[in-house]
Amino acid sequence: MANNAIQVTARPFIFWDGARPELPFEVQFHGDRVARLTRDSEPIDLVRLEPRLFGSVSPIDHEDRTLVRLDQVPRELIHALLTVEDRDFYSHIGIDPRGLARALWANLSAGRVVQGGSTLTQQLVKNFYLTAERTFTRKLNEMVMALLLEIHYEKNEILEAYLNEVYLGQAGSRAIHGFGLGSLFYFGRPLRELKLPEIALLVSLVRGPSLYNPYRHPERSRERRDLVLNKMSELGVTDRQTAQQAKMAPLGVSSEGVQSALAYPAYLGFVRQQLRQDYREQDLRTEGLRIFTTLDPDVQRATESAVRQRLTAIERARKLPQGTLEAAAVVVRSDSGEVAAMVGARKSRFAGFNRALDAQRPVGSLIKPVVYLAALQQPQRYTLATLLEDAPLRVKQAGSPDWTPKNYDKQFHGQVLLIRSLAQSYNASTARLGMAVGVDTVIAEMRQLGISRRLQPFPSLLLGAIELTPVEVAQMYLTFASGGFRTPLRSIRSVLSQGQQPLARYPLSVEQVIEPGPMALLNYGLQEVVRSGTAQVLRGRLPEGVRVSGKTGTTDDYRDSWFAGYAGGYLTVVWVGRDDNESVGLSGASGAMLVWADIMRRLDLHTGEFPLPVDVELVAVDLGTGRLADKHCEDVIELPFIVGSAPTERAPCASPQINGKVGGKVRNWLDRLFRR
Amino acid sequence: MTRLDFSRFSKRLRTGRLGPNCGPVVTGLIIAALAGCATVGTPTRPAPQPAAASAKPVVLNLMRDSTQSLAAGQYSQAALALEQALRIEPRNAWLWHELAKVRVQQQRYHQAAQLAAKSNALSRDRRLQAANWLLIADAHEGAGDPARARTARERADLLGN
Repeated sequence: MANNAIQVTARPFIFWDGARPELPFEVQFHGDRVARLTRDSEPIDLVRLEPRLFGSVSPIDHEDRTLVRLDQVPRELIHALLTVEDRDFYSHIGIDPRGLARALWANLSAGRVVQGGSTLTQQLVKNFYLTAERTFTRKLNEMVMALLLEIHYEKNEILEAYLNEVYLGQAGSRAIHGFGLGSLFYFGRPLRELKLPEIALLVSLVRGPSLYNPYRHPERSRERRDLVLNKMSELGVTDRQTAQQAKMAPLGVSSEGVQSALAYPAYLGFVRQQLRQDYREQDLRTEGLRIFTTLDPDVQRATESAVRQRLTAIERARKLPQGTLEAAAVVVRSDSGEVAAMVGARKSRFAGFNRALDAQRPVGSLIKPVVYLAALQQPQRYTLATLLEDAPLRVKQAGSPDWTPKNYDKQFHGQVLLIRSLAQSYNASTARLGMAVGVDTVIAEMRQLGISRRLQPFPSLLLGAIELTPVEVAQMYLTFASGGFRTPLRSIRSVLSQGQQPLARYPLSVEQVIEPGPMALLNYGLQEVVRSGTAQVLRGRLPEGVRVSGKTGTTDDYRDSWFAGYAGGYLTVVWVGRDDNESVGLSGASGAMLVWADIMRRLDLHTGEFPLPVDVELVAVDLGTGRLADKHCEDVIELPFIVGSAPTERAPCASPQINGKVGGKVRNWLDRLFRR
Repeated sequence: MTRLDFSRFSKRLRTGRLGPNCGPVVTGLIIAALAGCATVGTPTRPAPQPAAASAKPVVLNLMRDSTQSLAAGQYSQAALALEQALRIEPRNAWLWHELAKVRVQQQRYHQAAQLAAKSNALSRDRRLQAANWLLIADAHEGAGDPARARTARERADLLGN
């Protein structure tokens, strides 16, 4: 390191669009930011680094397994394994009388089982079928089965099965089986890339993954690894000098915080789902595919820590029992639909129920923008300034009790502007609007936005009495965030076959499903939610100049707390609730929205907004009546209107004449005439 | 979209110093001009200036790479470079326009028209909008829909000049 610069050499790597050779370059820093990249003193503006491996999917069952074929396993690993575990593997009949005699002697002298003396075949049997109890009966069973196994299968088949079955450690609730997965888990690299010291470490784990855990017992782990290396050199499977060199090497395991192999179970689950959906089964059955994803490790980390810390803080502040809240979050790049991060549980590193993908929860008010959009697509009937009636109503529903929506504040607000009804998330006025527009129209709109599940046309759907997963909500809001273009969520950038040929690509594809005019109006309304509505608290929580659009969602008895919002090129959806569906006492704004803000604050937000479309104009209206306002009015709001749909009547507060001379209508006519 | 001075690029374009690399850009412009002629008979149409495309050298370089690939008939490479650029500047209307051009070449007409529409949603630059409508017209034509192609061309003419 000199002059705040470091020399880096990027390893050669085959990307989806071709190979990149080894690339030495220099990074110069200014403070904590990268100031310049150079190669041979020439400035370069882009370097693609080798992507990090964070998971694997078995081609057969799509489980999280990394199966290896015998011919893909480094020779050194086989040598090391046989050296320390079963020297006579290729000659014995499934049990090894010599090894057994040794063990038997030790056990008899001790009066109990203290030594294994098991062959690989026996160990495999143990791993496959039997319990871990240490009795003579079990030992006998094990031997019989090992003998049978040897009769039925070739040595190499048994060895291959062993290599894929052996237990090598524990990641949370998940057992690490097989050297392929073990390699990913401990080193973040595929098995074929490991060097001798790393191979020796993996082999040393066979004897006791927790006893020789390199994270918890680095010293012991090192001793054991060196023992493996010594034995290899003693038996001549590796030369003394190579073994000595290997012993000098550090343990080399990836630091525990970035144990990337299994770090993102929720994201990996989504990748798996998309593979199944979008690729041909037979293409996936070949081994050694490389799947490039759109995951952004920084965004993922930010999302994980925001979820974890904020839930703890909420529980503490609200005196909720610790550890009862659960959450899910999805972060998407607004214009490409690329999923940057996904969290399916508060303890995001533990595989288990993936709430982002699989938790179907009532969405509450998150549905409302769809109702308003359906209305705003009829500009001659509805504008942001249309007066809605926020008053009691009763709707009959076939097969269920009458529907009588009420507001959260238990009041009715009389005549309110459409934009205010959206911003304040009033239920009664929204329900009336939805009934006027038609439940079927709203459902059709949801289809356009990207929801494909079947929906029953009950009126209560208008206020969100439907269950969606956070990923589905993200798909729907993504269409808003991308300016009315439906863009499929995608987690896979490309898949390379073993021959490094791209299988099929997920190209960027967009589909305009909302005209720019109505989209601009809705977007303005969703910004109003943050400016003056239910998400006001957000103001000032994000950097200046970043315009935020969003919507809170709260369900009956405060069971679900939602927030879906977009700003600066990212759309983020957060759900907070309990798995047992008990009330959490949180509204969208007091739960999910706080997590949302914590996530967004940590992202590198872009500026750059959609400009107002050419057929949209801004007009000042009176907040009370929705009619044209002027300087005499006190409560004025400037709203976008699709040209030709702005109110023409003047508000009572406005003076009937402009400039004291010409009346409004005449003035308008003159304006049009002279195109002023 | 950030507008900065891109005189450097445009000068190179005008003086032809980009060499054969700028082939497809030029070809595209010629097609655009001819298309304009066909409908309204205006002799020339001011060409959109890709020079104003970005403030970031890395984005400009990726655009140049894409242009080169397009010239060499490597359409998917051209698209990849633009997608890479879009990751850096997702709200850059020029990049969406360029990607639409690539899709026309790939005969993926529906996507071409959609991408051009996205470019339009992101820009109020009338010349870019006109160029997008011409692309949409090309796409409809390619897809065998001359009526919609005509409508799109009329929209372009309304914006041009």
